[in-house]
Amino acid sequence: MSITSDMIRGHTDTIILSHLIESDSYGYEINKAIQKKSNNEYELKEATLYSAFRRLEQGLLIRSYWGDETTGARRRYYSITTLGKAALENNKHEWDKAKDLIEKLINGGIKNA
Amino acid sequence: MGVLKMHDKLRTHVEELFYSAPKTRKVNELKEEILANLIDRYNDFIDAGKSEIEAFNNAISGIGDVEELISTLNENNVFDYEKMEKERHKFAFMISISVALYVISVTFVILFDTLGLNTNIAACIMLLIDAFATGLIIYSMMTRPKYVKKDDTMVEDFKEWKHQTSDKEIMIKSIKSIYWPIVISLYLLLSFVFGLWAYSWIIFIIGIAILNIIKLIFELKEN
Repeated sequence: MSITSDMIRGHTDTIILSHLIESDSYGYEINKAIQKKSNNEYELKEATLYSAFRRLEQGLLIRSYWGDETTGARRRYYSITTLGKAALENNKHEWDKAKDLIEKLINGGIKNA
Repeated sequence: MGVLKMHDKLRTHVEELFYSAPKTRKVNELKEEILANLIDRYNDFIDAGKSEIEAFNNAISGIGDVEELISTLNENNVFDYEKMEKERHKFAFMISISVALYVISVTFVILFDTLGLNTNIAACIMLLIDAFATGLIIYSMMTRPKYVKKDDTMVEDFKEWKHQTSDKEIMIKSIKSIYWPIVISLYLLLSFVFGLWAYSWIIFIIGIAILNIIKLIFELKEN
């Protein structure tokens, strides 16, 4: 389980971007979606999520704006930028390449030989 | 326990987590963002049939370690009060030394005169000391650290702008106040000691030119 978590953590940014390309969203909603997509097998710690948001925002891959909630606290929404979309495409491509390579290296590459 | 009371409890928890964090706009926004998500999380646990205590505990356990998050927020904070204070002391010390030198330089002339020695030499010593003192003031002005923005708020922008403008004005004013007495002293020295009355007035024209060059250097440095 811990190896899986470590591997996934390296792709936190890509996971967030791939969620934001569907629609603008906020922290909890993104985390809930991750939980749902992984059939409750994976959930990000919120601190990890916020670190990723700051990193992505500083890199201009995402933008943030405040919601207009009147009760409780305001939500901070994030939306993907053009630069973020390009980065996502690039990361997806890299991931496909890495996936094939690891498959070849670990399972002998019978499928693709 | 009421819903609002539970929200307050969550808010208090977030405040405690960020107790050691600097009170900047970024941190306040992060706290608000975390709280909003925490409330959503809590409400979902309640909807799923958990008790208030369980929902609260589950909600806060999902936050994880915020230490790293706080440290990344601190990285942008280049404002160091301790260092600023040290620099201020150093600056005040340099200025005091310079002013003391100005005063001492005059005593040479008086001393030489009283002892019946050549006052021309005394004037030369005075000018040399003055030149050194002036250099000291300009050096400490130039090396004084700039006000660095603590946070990207309007107030900080204004402070930075105000600091820059007033800094420049004070600098030029102080240079002028030192500069012209030196030019006049030079004029008198050249005229009295070397008897160059016919040409020595040119020093004023050169003086104006040099002052304008100094101003220009400042303008260029800013751009």
